[in-house]
Amino acid sequence: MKREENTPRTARIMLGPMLALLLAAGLSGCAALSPYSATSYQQLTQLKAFHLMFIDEFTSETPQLLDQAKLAAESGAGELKFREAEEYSVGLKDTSRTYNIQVLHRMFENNLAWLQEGNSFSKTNAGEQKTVLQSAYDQAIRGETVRTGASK
Amino acid sequence: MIDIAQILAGIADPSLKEIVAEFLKLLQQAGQDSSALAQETAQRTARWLTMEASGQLTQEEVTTLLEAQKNEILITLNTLAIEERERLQPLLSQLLDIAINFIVKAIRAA
Repeated sequence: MKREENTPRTARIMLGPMLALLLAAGLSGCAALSPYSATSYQQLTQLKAFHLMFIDEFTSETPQLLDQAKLAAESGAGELKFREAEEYSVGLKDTSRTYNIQVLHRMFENNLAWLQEGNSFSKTNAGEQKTVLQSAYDQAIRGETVRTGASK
Repeated sequence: MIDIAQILAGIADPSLKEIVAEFLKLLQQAGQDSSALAQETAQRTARWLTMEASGQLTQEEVTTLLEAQKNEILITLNTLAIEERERLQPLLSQLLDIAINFIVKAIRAA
């Protein structure tokens, strides 16, 4: 079942009380949703590609010593990309967008911590991790493309 | 592949009996929910635990996958909220603005 097909019904089922609060906030003049940002969309798609490639880079069927220099370089590159995306999002003054990026950042940090503990990703584990990551990034990207101004 | 219920039935520790029963109930409840997110979470959870039981994933790997799924849920719920706000906020704001600025006065003047 495709999640997108169920989204409105799902939202009503799962977000009743939360929705009431959000609507109350929106209608009382609090910060409205910011419109679609092509830059944020691009950052999310680039982060998705980077993160999935990061998992691939450290996937091995047999346990082996990790290339610590490579891990440090990839870690630094990833940290920079996430910080850039978060800082840009903060500037757009819409916490709903920033929240998704922060959770994705946490997922990257968790994957990084796994490697820093001396593990690599087995092919099976990498496949499952990437399945979850793809869904998470697709949802974050959807959080951008449902905004006003996005091409439908 | 072994069924998740069979795997859970194989947990011998009597002190975990109630927790296992509660877990199975929640797993079935999520799997039967109309929400695709709930169904997907139930399916993935059962699959990963089955893979742990068959030795395809370690305990530590399954734990990291379950934590990742929790994070994906946070993003999905946030995106659903964004979508609902995007849909309802302009509609309801416009409705109330017209009522405040025009309709209330027009009724009084009628």
